[in-house]
Amino acid sequence: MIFALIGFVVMLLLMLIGMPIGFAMLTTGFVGYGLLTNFTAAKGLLSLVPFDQVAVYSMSVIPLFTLMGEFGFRSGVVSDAYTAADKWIGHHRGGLCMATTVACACFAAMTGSSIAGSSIMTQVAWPEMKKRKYKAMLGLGAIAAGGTLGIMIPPSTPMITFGILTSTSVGKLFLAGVIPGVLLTIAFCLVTVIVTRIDKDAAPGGKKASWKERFSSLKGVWLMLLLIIIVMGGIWGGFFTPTEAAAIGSFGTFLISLGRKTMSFRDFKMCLRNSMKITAMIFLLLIGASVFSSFITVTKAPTIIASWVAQSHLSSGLVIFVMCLTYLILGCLMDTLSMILLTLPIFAPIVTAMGYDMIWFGILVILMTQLGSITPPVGINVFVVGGMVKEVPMSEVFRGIIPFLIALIIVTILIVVFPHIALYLPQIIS
Amino acid sequence: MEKIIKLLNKVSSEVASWVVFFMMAVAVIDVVGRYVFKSSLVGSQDLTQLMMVLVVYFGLGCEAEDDGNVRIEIFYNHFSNKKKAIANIISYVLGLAMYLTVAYKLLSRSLSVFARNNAKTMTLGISLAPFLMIAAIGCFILSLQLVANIIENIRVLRTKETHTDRIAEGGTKE
Repeated sequence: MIFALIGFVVMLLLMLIGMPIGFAMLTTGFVGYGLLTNFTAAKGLLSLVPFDQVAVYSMSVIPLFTLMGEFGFRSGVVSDAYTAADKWIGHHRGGLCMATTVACACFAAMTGSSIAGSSIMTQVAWPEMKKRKYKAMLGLGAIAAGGTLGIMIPPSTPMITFGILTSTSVGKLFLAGVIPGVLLTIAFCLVTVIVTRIDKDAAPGGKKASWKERFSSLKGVWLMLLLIIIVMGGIWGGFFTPTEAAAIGSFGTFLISLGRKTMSFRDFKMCLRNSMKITAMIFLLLIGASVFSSFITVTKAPTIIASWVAQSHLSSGLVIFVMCLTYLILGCLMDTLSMILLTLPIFAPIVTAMGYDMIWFGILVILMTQLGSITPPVGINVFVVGGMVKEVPMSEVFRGIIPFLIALIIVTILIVVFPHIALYLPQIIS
Repeated sequence: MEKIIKLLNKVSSEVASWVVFFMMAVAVIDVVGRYVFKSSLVGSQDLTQLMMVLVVYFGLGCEAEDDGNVRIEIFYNHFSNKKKAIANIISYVLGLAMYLTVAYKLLSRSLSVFARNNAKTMTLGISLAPFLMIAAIGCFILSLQLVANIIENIRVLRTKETHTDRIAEGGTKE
């Protein structure tokens, strides 16, 4: 147990001096494993893990869903979704913020990243918000919060990673993310309604679109919706594996981009390159995490902690609360994926021993990482938004995010108290 | 040396990028074949599995070249250029040691598989040996890139505060 603790401390120190997380995990895991067993065994680990972790069919879901998001980003469907949402609800007070949230939710159904949603919506929605004299705090807060839907609404890269690391069905995790994702979308829209009720000048209403305009705005989004239904329906209906669904989704968004002539050959190559780079980055982390996880297993720390929790008759709710708190603290320091990779070797066995459903826990972890991506001082989504809108101080964006943060916490509490919210769809469809 | 590393990274990342597209194509052909022509692509999972090796390992060098590594920047961002360079050198030396070991072990495993011919894919029976070799080459390219990053950071240390922040943050581009 003491070795695990020392390992964690050393690894955190290396990370805090700025060492790439994948290297820090790999180095600590290798040295720790070598000290506890012997270095011949540790070197043996290095001949197995880096290849066996990569040469796996199910892992190909990562580059392919990333590619789907990249093509989707360039297809222009996000701005179409935003325009459509604007036509339908934009005339209300705070309508553009709600339209942003809805467009983020639509984009989230094509990509597994939260940063992409925030960055594209800042470009699409912020100029219009500024024109309509929206207060930056509310407008940018809505954009940053909306971006986090990318990791809850399937497909989601952190969900895929969680599924792979805990041997949980990725399809079921995707299903479990639907209701919380919709709930969060509604909650973020409600936040806008409440804020604009309190501060009537925060986001003035606009011109009401005619019914003809509203329906014609849907022309740009139906293809995207159809594709999302095919991709997700294919997984849940058992027609495709997640990898095949991701490939169909990528191919579909590729065809949409070609049809709309929104993607040049250079853009196309950039999409491929970005997908490859993100995949390499994720695997650098995954390889490090697997070696570190092997070290943690050798220390027997997860078993010791799990049996200690069982013997000490601690309330399981308290244990989950402590885990959530850990995620909140780590969320202030590191990104989503690193947090998941770092904590799962310890948390997953404990949660399993306590008899909790891993799918529910997966959704809880995703919610906590969502919180992490908008809480200071790291709050990556806020940095993306704030970095793109230089005229607004970062502190103002962080202040604007507070009401959305509260909504996120409320939804998290709801899912902890009523796990059925997340588990309903996986249960009825399986 | 930097030119050679750049060229290696350029070629390998180009290959890896196109493999992502082929991976998509293989899965799409498999699905279309299965549902439209009632005949799926035999060994598509094997091909995808092997293509993953190319995408990941040929992408590692390019990822390190662009300094796309995920790191905690909360303290790092407040370091002076010199401190950043020292932190980078420590990180890259450790990373280099690890990935050279990985490259060596993968190479040994590849040669052993070549000799015994005992590791193959499930359906098509393709030997894993060449792909273990590719993984070893990928790790070697990453190691070379890390060496280049170390040299750049040493230059930052020697020339004190005259270099740009970008170099101090680990990049190799001027």
